[in-house]
Amino acid sequence: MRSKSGLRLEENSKEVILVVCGPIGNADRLASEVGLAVARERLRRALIKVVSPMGSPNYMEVVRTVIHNNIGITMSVRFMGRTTDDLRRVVKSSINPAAFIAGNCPEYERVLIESGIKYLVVDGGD
Amino acid sequence: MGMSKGFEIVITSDRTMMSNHHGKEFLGFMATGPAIGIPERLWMWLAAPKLKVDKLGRPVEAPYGLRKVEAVLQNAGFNAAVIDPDHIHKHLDTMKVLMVGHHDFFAYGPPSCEWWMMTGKEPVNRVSFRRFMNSPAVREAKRRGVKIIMGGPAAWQWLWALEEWRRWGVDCVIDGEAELVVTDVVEKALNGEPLPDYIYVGPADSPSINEIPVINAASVNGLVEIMRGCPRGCKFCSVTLRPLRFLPLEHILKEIEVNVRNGVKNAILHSEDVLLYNADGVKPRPEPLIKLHEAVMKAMPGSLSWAHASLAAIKYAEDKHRLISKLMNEYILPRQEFLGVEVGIETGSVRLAKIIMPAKSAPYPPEKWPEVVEDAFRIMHENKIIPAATVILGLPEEKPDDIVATLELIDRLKPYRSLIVPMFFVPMGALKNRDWFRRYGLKQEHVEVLMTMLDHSLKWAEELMSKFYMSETMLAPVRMGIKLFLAFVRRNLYRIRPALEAMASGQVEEVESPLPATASSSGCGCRVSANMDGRNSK
Repeated sequence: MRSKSGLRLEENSKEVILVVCGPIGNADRLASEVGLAVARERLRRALIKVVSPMGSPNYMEVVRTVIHNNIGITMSVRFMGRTTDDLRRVVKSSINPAAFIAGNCPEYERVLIESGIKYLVVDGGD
Repeated sequence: MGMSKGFEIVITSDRTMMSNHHGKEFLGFMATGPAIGIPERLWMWLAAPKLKVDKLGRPVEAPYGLRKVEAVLQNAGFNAAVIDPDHIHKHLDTMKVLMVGHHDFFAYGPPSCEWWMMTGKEPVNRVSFRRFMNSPAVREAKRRGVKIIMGGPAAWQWLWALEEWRRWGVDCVIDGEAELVVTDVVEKALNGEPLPDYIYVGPADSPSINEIPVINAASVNGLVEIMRGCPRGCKFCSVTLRPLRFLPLEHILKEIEVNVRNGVKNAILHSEDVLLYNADGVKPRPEPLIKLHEAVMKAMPGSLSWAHASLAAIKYAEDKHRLISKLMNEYILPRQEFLGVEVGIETGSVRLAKIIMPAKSAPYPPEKWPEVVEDAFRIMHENKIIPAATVILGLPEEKPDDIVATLELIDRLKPYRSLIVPMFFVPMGALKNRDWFRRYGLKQEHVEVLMTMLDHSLKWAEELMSKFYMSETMLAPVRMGIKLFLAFVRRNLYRIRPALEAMASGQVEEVESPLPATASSSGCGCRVSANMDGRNSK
């Protein structure tokens, strides 16, 4: 009787890796960049994998702007862990992800550089 | 189903939601305010009396949104049921998932936050929800590893309630139409797989008509949905972002049959605009509306209400087809004395209407908006339709002249039987990235509008209580309680204006902010949400 599928709404999603280092002053820009990354591929769903030393649900202080500014895209937001090792795992398991770093955390940035993942840093200073 | 063993998936809400409000939907609005002039226990009894339950704690009626989730899960074979909040302890041995829906978890939405702002006291819905989450049964469920999933039209509020999110161990929040999502999430929860923290269901993943199930048990006060979405595109509203879908008449009648079979004799037709059921764009058509009303009145023995109707549709339907008089005189009034409905005035300013709701007046041009409002009120008055109307204060780009235009319009509505209630702007729909209206944004012009609305509503509430509302003998104690409350407000009117004026001039101390710092650095902020489980669509 029960469906054996996973979360249907995570299928055909743009995978987004989002490293949230801490509160930022430019969350609107982050929201708009994430929206653009999904729209560029003409998808209507985003699976947002969050790695954040802030922990869960505190990272929502930043990510809620991304959710709140969105209208048309289905979003599934998953907390994947706090550490750079967690980020490595997320990178390995993701397919063609868009990646963003909110705030300033060079050690996480290094993981993305080492993995050859293109990313955009959005922080309060830009 | 394991009936005697209890349920694996318990769907519930707190008492302010899990009530039929004595069969009077308008009384539900009291559950969004703080206890004023009477003890909280008495206020709660007036606003949200307990429901009858069976031995497993299943209520005879439950909020419509919870019933939809229940139907989706039961139809998919899950051992799920809506359970009254006082009875979830009966399922601790079997419960693996606790699903909680609400229209206003934290009183951040209207009208809760208006009450909160005006009185400085926490509304009872917030108090009641917190009491429920801190109850021994919920704490024990969490201790045993039960997954907690939040949803309903107030799901967004969790983004601003991170402390509570952490404290109560919420596992997942579902925001949006849940039909296509909920079985997958519950299955993952039952399998012990990690859940997303937050799911926002976009318009593309809204269910089609065929994917919306018929409820399996009765909804509060017989509410049944006739359509979803709205074509008007008002910028402050989230419903308009969803695709427009009309439920077939057979589907509507099946739900009414479920309600009647379970002892709920009345019906509330739910839509953002009942008169647009199978309409030609924004022009109501007589044939589907007559067919709908004829069938619905035949299908249930009680009285009918409309959840919402637009003022433009009321005017057009009557001016063009004499449809309001026909529906009222031929189908509705032979059985009842009046029909209740919520309507939106929002503003009396043509300038502002053009910016934020250019199609609200359609098929009439926005320049005619004040005239449309006045004409619709007259039509409703003549046909014994009693509206509860909303006015939004603090809209983006609102100027003092706009507030004055609203004030003038409300003045012209004086002769028409109605309640007019203020709502402070909340960022929703296309304006959802804008800022909340805050307590410190209150201007002298707002005070005038608020006092005019209070005066209007008080006058008509007293009249309605004596002539129309709650005339049933069994409701005499409730009627007395409401009259006591109205008398209390009347006695204290002289204190309200100076208090509001002090607020407008910044001479009062801040009350506790309903929203955390980033959303509300000070003062009250609220946000409208309308969807399948709201007070406006309970």
